Amino acid sequence: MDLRFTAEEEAFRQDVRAFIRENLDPVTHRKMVEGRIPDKEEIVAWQRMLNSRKWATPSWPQSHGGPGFTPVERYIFLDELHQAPAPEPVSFNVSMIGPVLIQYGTPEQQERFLAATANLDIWWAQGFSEPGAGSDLASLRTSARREGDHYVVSGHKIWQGMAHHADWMFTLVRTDPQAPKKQMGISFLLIDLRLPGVTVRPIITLDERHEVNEVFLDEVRVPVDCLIGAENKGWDVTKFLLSNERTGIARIGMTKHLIRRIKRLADGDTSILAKAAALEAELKILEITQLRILDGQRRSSAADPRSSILKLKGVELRQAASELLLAAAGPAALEVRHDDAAFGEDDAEWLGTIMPNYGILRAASIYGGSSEVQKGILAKTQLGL
Amino acid sequence: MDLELSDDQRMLKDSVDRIITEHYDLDHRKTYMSQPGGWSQEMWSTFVALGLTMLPFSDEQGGLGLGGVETMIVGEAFGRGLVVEPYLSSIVLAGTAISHVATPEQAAGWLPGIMSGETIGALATDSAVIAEREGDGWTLNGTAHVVLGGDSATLLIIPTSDGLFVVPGDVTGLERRGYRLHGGGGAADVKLAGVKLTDADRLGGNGGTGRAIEAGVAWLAAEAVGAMQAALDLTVDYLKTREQFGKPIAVNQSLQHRAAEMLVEVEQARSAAMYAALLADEQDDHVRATGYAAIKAVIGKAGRFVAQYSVQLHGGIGVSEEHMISHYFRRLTAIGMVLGDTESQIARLAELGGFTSATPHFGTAA
Ligand SMILES: Cc1cc2nc3c(=O)[nH]c(=O)nc-3n(C[C@H](O)[C@H](O)[C@H](O)COP(=O)(O)OP(=O)(O)OC[C@H]3O[C@@H](n4cnc5c(N)ncnc54)[C@H](O)[C@@H]3O)c2cc1C
Repeated sequence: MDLRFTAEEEAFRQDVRAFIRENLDPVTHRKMVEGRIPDKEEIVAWQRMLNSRKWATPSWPQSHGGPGFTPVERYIFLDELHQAPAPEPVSFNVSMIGPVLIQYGTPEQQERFLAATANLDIWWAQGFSEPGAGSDLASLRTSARREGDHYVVSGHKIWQGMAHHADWMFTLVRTDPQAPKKQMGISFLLIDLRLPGVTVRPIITLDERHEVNEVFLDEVRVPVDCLIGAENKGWDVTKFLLSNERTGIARIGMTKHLIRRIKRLADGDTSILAKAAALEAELKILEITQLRILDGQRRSSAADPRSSILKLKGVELRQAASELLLAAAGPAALEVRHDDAAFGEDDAEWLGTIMPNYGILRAASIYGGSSEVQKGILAKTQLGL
Repeated sequence: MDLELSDDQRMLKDSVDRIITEHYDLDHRKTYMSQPGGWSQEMWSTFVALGLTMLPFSDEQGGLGLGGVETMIVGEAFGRGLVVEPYLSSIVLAGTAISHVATPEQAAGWLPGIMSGETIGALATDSAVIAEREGDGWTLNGTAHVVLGGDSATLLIIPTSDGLFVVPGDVTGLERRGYRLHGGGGAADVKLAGVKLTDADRLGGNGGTGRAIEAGVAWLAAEAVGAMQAALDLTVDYLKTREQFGKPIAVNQSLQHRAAEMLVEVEQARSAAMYAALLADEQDDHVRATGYAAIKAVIGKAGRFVAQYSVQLHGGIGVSEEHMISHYFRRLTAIGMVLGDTESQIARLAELGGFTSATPHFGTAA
């Protein structure tokens, strides 16, 4: 047994770090350090910069334009992004629809979408959830009926992250309302958001920011060549997508960034520092758990249900860190500031985002499989309950 | 990076697991605990015969020269069996202290007895003892509390104001009050009043009890994993078989979720134990110090969580002395408390500055 990275892996880490340092736009970097959300242009520019080295698509195979990272390299790469911190490549593109296109897309669909998806020429939104279908996604009601070469789609999607930046949306629709099981009548469709009948409406969240949206679909005519996989077989595609979404990254580097800020703001307050150490102890051990799961992924590419452990503990610690950061900042963090406020002179400890980020981080245990859903997965797959 | 066991390690695991399964159920354990000293000479001899007591010592010292991972394998099995023989106190704590701090000549004097199981060692980790030079000898005065295994030890290692001393259990001036510990095993409070020793009794190498305590933490981490996994397994079985309201209690989601939370903690503990095993070879003192503090902190917290909820999910039977769960509960509680509890480890980690510095990962150019 050996926990150490190889010399090549260590060199790779230095290479990633140097690349970020040399190429990440300083304004974008500063926003990330301060916990502000970068603009669309900044995110696009950064993803294209990464893509110039094929690094925008860390999990894609070389045959489809990916870098061919090993699981360990992928982990190191993301860890460096998280710690820098730098924006992650847009997950809707690279962790969700990209792998789906590679696995289920026709050669024409791959030709049409893959390169543009990697380069963020197309920004994707995820059109899964509906007002009546959250954790119970398969109960979705958005309907699509076939008319010649088109599906005519009507329904109401909700919580589409960054859909106001998006060009296209991958969507689940019900194509067979008579199917004997609700999972059986679902299809996976790509919808161009510029089509007539599509309305994207903002939802403002408790951080007073615009990150999520509702998408209304009113008799939208979607060409049939935008169907992924077979009609009524969309649930298989969805399960594949969700298992990729959950391939075990605990985002430990993001929490480390928060801990750095806590230590600066604590200003020697021993009670805060002791709480930070308690978080760090668990975080250090979670890193080992992460490596154990990576080690397993090197032996088998099957989705590892133990990834739910990473999601649960990773989110628990990140939420706890954001709460401790709020405590370290104190009541001054309550002053309402906006992300687009001018940078302060030497105000690296921008307090303006601490309360909003503490609030919105509550969502991390709701999306991507809520903590309750993750526990259900563990109980079923690991404990046989 | 490679986190699989080697073939040899797997064989070791199989044979230790088999011994525990065959010779260490609750009834056996009760018999062992009723023997003088509260443990079984026969089981101890079995462990000696298997080579387990030689395992961590180097070839030069006459040991098997195996490392942290092998010790972890044994610890995990012992944790599952709730083994009461003095492996932690004699082999891990006293043995590591001698092998790290003694001169080679001293080690050659003491280690063979430790490895053969005839000498039972103990290390005082909480002591206030003054060593005074008198002529070419030493006089020791003071006390040591809760010396693990100190009740059965024939050789006590006592840290003093002037280094570590190896004190024979029957030396004049040494008084011991031995007692049983909740959670298994025994300990002693020790009083030294004018104990006369020579230079040969003073461990001549450099260092204190640090490495021994680290080895102890690694052992406890492994033991905790064994106990936690066993407690979780028993609990999951119980959820599936115990019926109330006409159905297995496992149909209740609140219980499924609690079991899943226990699993998360068991896996964290397992990571901690692996980290502990691999950290034994680390040369950097700071890395070891922060690492073991985090390991023990997590083990204490996770162990307590699993202990408490295994009892809760068993209902009334969980607090019965007749049920294994209550024994796991006590052992896990004890493991959390000895060699530094979670709170003190966290305080130490904070004092050492933690793992992440306050400075940015790299500077912002804006
Ligand atoms: C910030 C944010 C961004 C999002 N982005 C997207 C996006 O881009 N695209 C998209 O399609 N969706 C997105 N979502 C939606 C997200 O996937 C859903 O919120 C999630 O699936 C939970 O559904 P829900 O909100 O309807 O809650 P519900 O499913 O109604 O859950 C309510 C509560 O009940 C619990 N619960 C539900 N079922 C069970 C059960 N069987 N057992 C125990 N507890 C249960 C849940 O854990 C939760 O605590 C986003 C959500 C948020 C908050």
